[in-house]
Amino acid sequence: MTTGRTACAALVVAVAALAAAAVYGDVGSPLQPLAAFSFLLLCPGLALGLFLRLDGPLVGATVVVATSVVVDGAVAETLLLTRTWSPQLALGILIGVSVAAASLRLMRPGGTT
Amino acid sequence: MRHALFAVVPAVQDRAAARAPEQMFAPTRRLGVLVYVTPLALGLILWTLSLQHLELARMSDMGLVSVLPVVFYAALALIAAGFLVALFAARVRESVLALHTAALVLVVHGTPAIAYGTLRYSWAWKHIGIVDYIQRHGSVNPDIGFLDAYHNWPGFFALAALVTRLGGWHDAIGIATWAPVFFELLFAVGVLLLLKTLTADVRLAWLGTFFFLAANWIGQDYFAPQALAFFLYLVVLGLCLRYFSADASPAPVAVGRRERILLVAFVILAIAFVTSAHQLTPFMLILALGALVIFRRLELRLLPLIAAVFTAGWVAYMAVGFLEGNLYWVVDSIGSPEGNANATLLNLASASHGMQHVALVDRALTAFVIVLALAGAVRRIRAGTVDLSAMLLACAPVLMIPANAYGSEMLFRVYFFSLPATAFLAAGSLLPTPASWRSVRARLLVGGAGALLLAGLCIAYYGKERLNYFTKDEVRASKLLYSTAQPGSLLLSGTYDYPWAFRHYELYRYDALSVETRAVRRRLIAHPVRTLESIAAGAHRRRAYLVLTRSQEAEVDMTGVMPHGSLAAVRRAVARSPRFRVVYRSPDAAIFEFVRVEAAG
Repeated sequence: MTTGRTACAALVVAVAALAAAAVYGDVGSPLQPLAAFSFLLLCPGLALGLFLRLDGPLVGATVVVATSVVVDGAVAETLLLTRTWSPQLALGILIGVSVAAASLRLMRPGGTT
Repeated sequence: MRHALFAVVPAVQDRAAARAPEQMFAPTRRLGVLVYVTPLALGLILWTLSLQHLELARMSDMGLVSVLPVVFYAALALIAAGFLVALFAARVRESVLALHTAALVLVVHGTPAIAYGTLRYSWAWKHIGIVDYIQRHGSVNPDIGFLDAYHNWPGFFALAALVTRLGGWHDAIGIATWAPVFFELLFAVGVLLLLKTLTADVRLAWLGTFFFLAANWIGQDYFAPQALAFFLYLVVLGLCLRYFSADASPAPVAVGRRERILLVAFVILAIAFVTSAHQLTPFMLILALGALVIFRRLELRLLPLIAAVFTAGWVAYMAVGFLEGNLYWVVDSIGSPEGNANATLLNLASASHGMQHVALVDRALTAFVIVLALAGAVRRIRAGTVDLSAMLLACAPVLMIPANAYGSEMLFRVYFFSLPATAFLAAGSLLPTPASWRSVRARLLVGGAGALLLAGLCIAYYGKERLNYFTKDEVRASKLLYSTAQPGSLLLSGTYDYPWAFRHYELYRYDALSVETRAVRRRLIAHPVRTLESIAAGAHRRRAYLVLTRSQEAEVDMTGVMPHGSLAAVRRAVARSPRFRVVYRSPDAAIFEFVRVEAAG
């Protein structure tokens, strides 16, 4: 397992934990905006990006941000259109997806590069 | 070795040529830090200083440029010069170019956010209102009638409501204030990804990105679905051409089977999200992807069809409410290219002198980029490279002109969607080959073109700021209006250019004097009070308010939609009339309540 991959997975889990603590614990600003925004902008894409081997930091960073935006948006819109709107539930789903993907990638045999 | 997510791009033949050792300027690592960081830091310091004591009240019809001090332009010039020095160094340091690009975006697009201290653009305030609606109702209402397009394509607003709530913010105003900086940074990343796919010449890709930022005067970077959808448009095209190009020039980057499957899945998901978030971008995607497939540039031949099915499906099932209510004007503008194009252009005859100058600079800047792009296409072909993909991406959006007027904005949007490829070709006119950068003449021309574009950007992008800017007083007045006006009231304004519809917007009915018929506007100038009462009575509301602000007066005076000074005259007449009660009055804004609406008319 590469150090970079492990670090990315650890980062996903850490930021997810921070976002969960900030939002569910209602700690208020300035930590909450920072934690929530960082999580939404990076973590879903970073976690799913662990399954990809792409060519370079520009592509990697773009895919991370774009994937995060699309996954966040898809979850938010699904809850909105199904009239089950709940930002806390959306965060829970996104944390679940991100942490599950990060854990799966870390535990996956042959995950070395 | 290629490794996870963050790895080094394999060397390509002409990229090696582009980076060939050069004796002219190759600073050592330590010297490099000084050479690059010093002007950048100095530029940012000067920029910060330039924002002190800006007298925004003195802003003329030329916009922000009329009040920005020389120091601001010095800061901008330093950062742009630093970028070009780094671009023409023997060894291209992309981290240095990225830092300069980020600084350029911050200076150009962060200036209004810092200088104003309020959210600019009346459209952005409306979008805050949709987020507010979602936060209160937990749903959207596709049949709502007013601002129904946003309820029928709610993807962006659902995401914005999520970010607002999880960030602990009461409303989305703070996020929206900084949205232009955020989105322009995303655009820069997306454009760079696309251009690095179109060419292996790293200097050409970065110069094209610089040209894109310097020529993007349209202003589609504010808090709106368009900005997010455009970023995803760039990413979809960039990834498709990078990994699924059907052509050898540039050859697709080889990745594993799993990567290909996941990338296709992502591209389809991104297209689906764009389809649900914005009306126009899916059509632009269909055209761009379709053109690439028709000309055999793209391996994923079903992708345009998938995008078309998503779009048709969304319109037919999810946005049917919008279609029923708006089909007449959608159909009306089909097959009318001249009408759709002319609808976008400002009527110069009635505009103020300042506005005329700004409009002419807009057009000159656009023409300059297009001429450079045409020259670039020819020079690159003569140098042995046919940028067919770039040409297709530059031309495909033009096909939308006969299809729709898009609320009188189609020409602007076509330019916007064409710009990444147009900017690339424009850069190609000055650096047609990977070795062109060595020529002193080419460097001087790049510097000159860059300076012209940035100068044009300052006038074109900042040129309408007198009406885009809202003073704190205007914002205070609008907040007071929405906290005191009874639900069901009519909110009548001079124009729609003020902070409006941002809080429980659906509870009110809106009207503006500027959209009344010519006859009514003429009557208004002759008999303001009587005409206003007639309009209020026609709305059949128990209560009605009249909102007049500095920004509305600026719009009327600058665009000529009504005679110069007419709104100020209306305001004076209303202030004297016993038929109106003053709710709020200050130098920048006034709110009047109609005393008895039912008795009027």
